[in-house]
Amino acid sequence: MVNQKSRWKTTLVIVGMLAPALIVALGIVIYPIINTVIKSFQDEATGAFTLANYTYLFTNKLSRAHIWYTIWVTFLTMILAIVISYLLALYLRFSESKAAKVISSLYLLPRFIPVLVAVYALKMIIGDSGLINRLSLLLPEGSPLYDFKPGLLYNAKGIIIANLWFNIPFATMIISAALSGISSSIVESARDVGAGKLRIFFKMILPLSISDVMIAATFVFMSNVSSFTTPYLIGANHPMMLGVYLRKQFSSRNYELAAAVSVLIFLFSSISAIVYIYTNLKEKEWEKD
Amino acid sequence: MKKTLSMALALLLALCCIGFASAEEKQTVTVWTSGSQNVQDLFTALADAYNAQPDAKYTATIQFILSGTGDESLSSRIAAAYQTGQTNTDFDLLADNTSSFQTYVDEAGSEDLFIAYDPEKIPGLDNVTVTPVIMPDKLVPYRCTTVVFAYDSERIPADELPHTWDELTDWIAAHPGRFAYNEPDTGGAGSSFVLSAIYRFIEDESAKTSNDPKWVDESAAGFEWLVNLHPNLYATGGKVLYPNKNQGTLDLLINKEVDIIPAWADQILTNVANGTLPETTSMYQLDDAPLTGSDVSFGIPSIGSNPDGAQDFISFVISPEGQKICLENMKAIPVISSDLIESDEKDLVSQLGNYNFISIGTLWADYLYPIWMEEILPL
Amino acid sequence: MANAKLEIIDMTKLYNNGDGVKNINITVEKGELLTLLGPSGCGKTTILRAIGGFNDIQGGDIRIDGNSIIALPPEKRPTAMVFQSYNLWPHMTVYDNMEFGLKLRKVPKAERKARISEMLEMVKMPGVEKKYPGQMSGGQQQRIAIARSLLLRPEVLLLDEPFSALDAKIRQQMREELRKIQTDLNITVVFVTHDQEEAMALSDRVIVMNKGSIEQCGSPAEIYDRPVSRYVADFIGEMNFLQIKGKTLAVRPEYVKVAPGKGGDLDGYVRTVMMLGHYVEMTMDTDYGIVKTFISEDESRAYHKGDPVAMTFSKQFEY
Repeated sequence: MVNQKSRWKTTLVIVGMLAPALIVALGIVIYPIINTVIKSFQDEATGAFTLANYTYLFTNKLSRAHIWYTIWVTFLTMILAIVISYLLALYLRFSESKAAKVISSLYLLPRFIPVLVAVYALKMIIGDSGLINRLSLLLPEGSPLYDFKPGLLYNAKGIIIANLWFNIPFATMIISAALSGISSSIVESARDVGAGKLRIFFKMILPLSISDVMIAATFVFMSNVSSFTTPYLIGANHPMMLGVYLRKQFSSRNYELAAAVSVLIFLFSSISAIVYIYTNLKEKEWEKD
Repeated sequence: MKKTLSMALALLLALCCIGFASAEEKQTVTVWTSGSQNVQDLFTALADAYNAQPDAKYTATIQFILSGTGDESLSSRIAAAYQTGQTNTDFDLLADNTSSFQTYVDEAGSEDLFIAYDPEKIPGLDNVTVTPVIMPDKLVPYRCTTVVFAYDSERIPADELPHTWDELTDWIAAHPGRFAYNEPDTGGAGSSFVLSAIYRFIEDESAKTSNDPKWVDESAAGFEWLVNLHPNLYATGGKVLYPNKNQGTLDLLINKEVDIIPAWADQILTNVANGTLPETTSMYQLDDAPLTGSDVSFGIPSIGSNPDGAQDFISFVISPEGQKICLENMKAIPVISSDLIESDEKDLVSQLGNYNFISIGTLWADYLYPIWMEEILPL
Repeated sequence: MANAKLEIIDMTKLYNNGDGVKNINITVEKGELLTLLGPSGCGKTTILRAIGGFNDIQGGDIRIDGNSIIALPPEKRPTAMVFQSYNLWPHMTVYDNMEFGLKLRKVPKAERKARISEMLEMVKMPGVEKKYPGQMSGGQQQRIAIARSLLLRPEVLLLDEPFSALDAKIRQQMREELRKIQTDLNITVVFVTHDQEEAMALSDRVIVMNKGSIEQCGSPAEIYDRPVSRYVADFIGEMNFLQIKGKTLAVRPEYVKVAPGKGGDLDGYVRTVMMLGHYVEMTMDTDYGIVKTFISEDESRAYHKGDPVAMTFSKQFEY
């Protein structure tokens, strides 16, 4: 009897302690999400339920261009980031050189620079009147590279380059962690048995690290599909990334349409999140007891 | 013992708070405005100077919204407050382009959103040489601003400079990639250019101050001109670019990537003054239709809580001292005779009075800009 | 040497911090099990990895059957290595683990199956083909690792402290099994360990190493009965050390005979008497150090702490 009472009390105390955090989470996260979803189904003038916002998003020529653009730019960012990060992580793991040691302590630095600062820095270097262009002006007039304009900004290339700046360190970190969990003797015994480097990679290293690679990939996708700052600063006028499109709708006071775009971005992120959770939960056959 | 001590301290704290609150305190007047960074700098300077006056009767606080951070929602907020019958809000004083006040009125649904000022409470009103085109009994202009064409006279000699819109069209065709205007939704210079381009084809002058949707049909000619202009504009990476924000085209001019841009006169003047633009930078208007400009006015919302304080602040800003701050801080065009202002910088702005006044309320956001987005952006 | 399978000639491998081995000369005969014995950092693993191809050497040569192998990467050397742990690839079944190397050598499927079954029988683990390494104990995993290496019929089998991570009892078992397999197959083995008991039990010959150089090389009996240096004497088995007049006298406990009273080669007093199961360990204080000896339970009844003891040494070394 006494046990029951004190258990209730403990539960109450726990709930009481957690309540502020829960209320904040509900208020700041859950409620606005629900609000936005409701708004996305509302008609602008009457507030009545309608699918018109979503129909517009998926039928309007420009809007479809934005959606498709966002998807393939994000995918490309994800693939490039993973490939480059994997190669970098492999190098850091298996190379004994001094350069590797130096890089392994420096590669996270780009993430410490605020997005705005990094994008402006990038602009200053690869912009059409940036450092590279100005260096090319030192060449004799008439030579093919004189007044070289990289043309990398205000289009997908610039956005992807800027995205890689922030995503490579992060993905490398995750993949490096996975690779360091692969004992050297696994690789050495494979060599000893006669396997060449490529075979070792595809048959040993990749299978043992694939789930962490997937996790890194989902993270990169999730964080880039909604990106705003970078495409706003150095993106093209058209098509736009969904983050910029969202802002445009908002500042044109099309709040219902903006809500629909917001929900769409959320859906894309959710798909990525589901892949992440699935990968995490799926028990590997060889890990089962 | 501990408990008594903490009780005593709490009581002491409470007493201090009460005492503090009842001390002689000036009523605040909250001034709302928005725009680029230079507008914020100007108002900070004005408020500081106003509050520093030994006989200041009120304390001025500035509520500033940087353009692009939700400034367009300010009119909705004020309209909403008005429509829900709120009074005594802190929307004491509003400063915006005269051409924009129509939007506030449209959203609120009534001109009663603003109250008429009492000339007795604004000494110095007689010195104001500019009369607002709408609500002259409610709006008091305090500076003028205009968009001009800016160019480097070293790169464009006088005999090559285009002086009419047709000449400009030819010049742009002959110099592809050397002209740019910013995305009109992100900066006033760009929207000014687009509006001027559209309205020069509409002969009825009254269209410029009308928010009647019927004028949208007449915008077709202007948009056609803009579409034809597109291929000759500044491009990078093989695609034409409309830079974001006023600063975007300014940067292009600074980096010598283009030769002519539409730009705010005060931004050009400020950049020349601090050296980012060369001294050879000049400003001018085309002969047949100048770019837009506006007087920037104060309006007193009826839902504010301090109309007297608002009017006192207004009279400070239109006084010679206030106008000097506007001129020197922001290179703004003063609204009082320049004879009354003691400043070396008067000549900078003396030539800029010729501008077109276009005030079309929500016509821009609801009709014209969406057309620009649909027709020109995807090109 | 006619029967030499593995020759290490004047080999040097130094690391950046100065550790390593210099001018190593070792010959291993066919079918011999040679052990490199020493504490951590003595260089034994360095030599083993050099043979396997995982270390580049700075000087000297390594030959198998008379052919130099130092230019070959590990994949191409006729050696097979069993590591201390994490030998097996955890994401592959036992069968896949064992098949991997055979597949690379293009052995036909039926033959692969046959050889794998045969080898699993040999290591006394039939029927585990479908299990994953994570489902087996440490000892079982090492057995499979050894089986996997043997499948490839290496000229020399290299083992890097393969039993160090296992329980004492399992270690015993594994030692015996390894010895049996090795002699049955007549395979040449180089074995590395820091456990002198293991070295003595397993090997045909033992090389005792200290700080990068070889102290002594010989059969277990030679090393035990005739240690050439104080280091070897100390490292192998138990040894009493006495400092007398600038020289070190070393005598094994079993060569110390005791009698109550005085008048032996050395006299002292009983210090401790410890019952260790089927024998008793007694230590004695002397003017030159502590001496340890083993006596039977019966004998031990005569001695109590502080009693005078006379010791005679039947075999001793001087360093």
